[in-house]
Amino acid sequence: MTDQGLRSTVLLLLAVAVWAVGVVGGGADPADLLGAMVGTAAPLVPLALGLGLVLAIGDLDLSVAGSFSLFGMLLLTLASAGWSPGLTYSCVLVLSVLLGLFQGMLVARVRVSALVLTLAMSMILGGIAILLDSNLSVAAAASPDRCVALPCPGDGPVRRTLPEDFRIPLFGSPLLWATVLVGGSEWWRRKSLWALQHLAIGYDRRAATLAGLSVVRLRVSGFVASSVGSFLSSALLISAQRGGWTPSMGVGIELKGIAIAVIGGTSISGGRFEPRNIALAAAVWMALDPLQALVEWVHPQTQQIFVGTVLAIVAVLQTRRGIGLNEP
Amino acid sequence: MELKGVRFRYPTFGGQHGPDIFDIQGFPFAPGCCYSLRGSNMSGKSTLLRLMSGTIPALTGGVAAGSLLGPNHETRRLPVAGPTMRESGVATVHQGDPLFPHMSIWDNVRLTRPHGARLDPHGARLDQKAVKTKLELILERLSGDEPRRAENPLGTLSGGGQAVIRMLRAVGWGYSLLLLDEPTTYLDAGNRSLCFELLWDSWTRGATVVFVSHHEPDHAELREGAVSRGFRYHEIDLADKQLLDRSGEA
Repeated sequence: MTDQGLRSTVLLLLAVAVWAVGVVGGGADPADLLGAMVGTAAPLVPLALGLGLVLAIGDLDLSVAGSFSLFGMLLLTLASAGWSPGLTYSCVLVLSVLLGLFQGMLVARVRVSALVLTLAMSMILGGIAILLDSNLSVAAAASPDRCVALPCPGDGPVRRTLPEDFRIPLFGSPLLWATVLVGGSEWWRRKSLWALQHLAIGYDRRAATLAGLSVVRLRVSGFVASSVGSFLSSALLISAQRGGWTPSMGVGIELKGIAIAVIGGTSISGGRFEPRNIALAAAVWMALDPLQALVEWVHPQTQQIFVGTVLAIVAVLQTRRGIGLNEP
Repeated sequence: MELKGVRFRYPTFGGQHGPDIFDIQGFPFAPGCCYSLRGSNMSGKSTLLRLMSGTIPALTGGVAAGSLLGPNHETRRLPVAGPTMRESGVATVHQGDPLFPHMSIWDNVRLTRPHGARLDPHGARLDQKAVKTKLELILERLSGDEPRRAENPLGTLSGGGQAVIRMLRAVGWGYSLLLLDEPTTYLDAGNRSLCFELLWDSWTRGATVVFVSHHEPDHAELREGAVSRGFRYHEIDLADKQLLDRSGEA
């Protein structure tokens, strides 16, 4: 069995174990619980894939916390301004690409620190998301007919939803999107020369430069993928209308996405990217969410301890493999 | 390729720059020729090849001036980027170039595949299938290594085997200008012979070769191979910061 296959098996067993806890310990319907687990994990998969690719090329993107919140708020803002669904989604998608290009060029060509730049961008974008939320509240107060907020402003944190016609059937199916993205990413990773070059620069940037690879172009494309992944995840979540949207939705999501990517086999030091395992890791991470209502001893702290333990074990294993062996 | 007004200085401590490593007013590399580049240690031979391939000053810093007239007659002002030169048809083997030992042998070779397949001397396309077939033949003949498959990790090959793969990666895809810096250093007779075989194969496509070596038998073999195949052979010297063609000298 290959190393990737071994990781897949372990992750699958972990997910099955968590599901079994819910069925046996919580008395949940097996099919319903499986649907809940997958449905909770699927929207995060695009973001985790994008972050995984950035890690695999040896970079880091913390801006997804801010961009995730901002993209959702932009969709709400443009929807409340009367824009059509097609134009709204297209514009925010283009913005996500431009954001990725901007960050990628600063990091790869100008050589700004990825950690500092993306952290700064996260704060800026998150602040803009809060501003947009404030504007929506003001607009809603002034013109209740245009209000898309539920509950009404002034009743505490406002959780906003998109109008019904924005729930594009495709975007309403996070599982479908996650499946297509994971399948496409796996095919790309295995077959594409471009994917091979991405992994090469993650493994040894100097060797890649000497081989004549376009390291700048490849790094920029990684940041674009991360930004687009953030947009897709926010669009999937907000379109699925899961409890509404607030500007703080992105808080902590960059760490969650990075942790999912690492548990899914992405090498911290770069050079390895396994989309299938990232999706399985998302399922393992998010699997405990539905269990909280079913099993008494499953609560957010348990989830944190469980995931943190898995992450620590993965980090130790990766470090151990890095000593003496050439595989990333 | 033609060099025009090419100068380069390495950076030193404190953001200053050292003296010019070379100051080449002009030197043409004609198509279909082999240039055997000699020079004393520290004369800048490897630096010149790295400058022509675009890997410095990207990796080391430094100041480069001048221009290159590329294989496709495009003029590029220095410094140029490695990918730009690769897209122009320039391939390189640098001394001690690191490869990717965890990747398969085939992945290491196809990593530098150009956009669009080129033609071999018989007019056949140098696509992935053709190059992979050549790789499999080479893997059966590597000296000092057990037979390997193209899917095996590169790290399972000996240093000599990896050097041959490094050569194939540069010469196997039909690039028109080959910059080879000590490609056969420390190789045994069997693998050295394989490297030259790969070189003759690319040479017949009309490629231009610039070959650097401290090993006199390498220069002798190049000269003999060029003359026997009816190609032009030049001995050039990098001395006193200039490139001099010594071919006409006794």
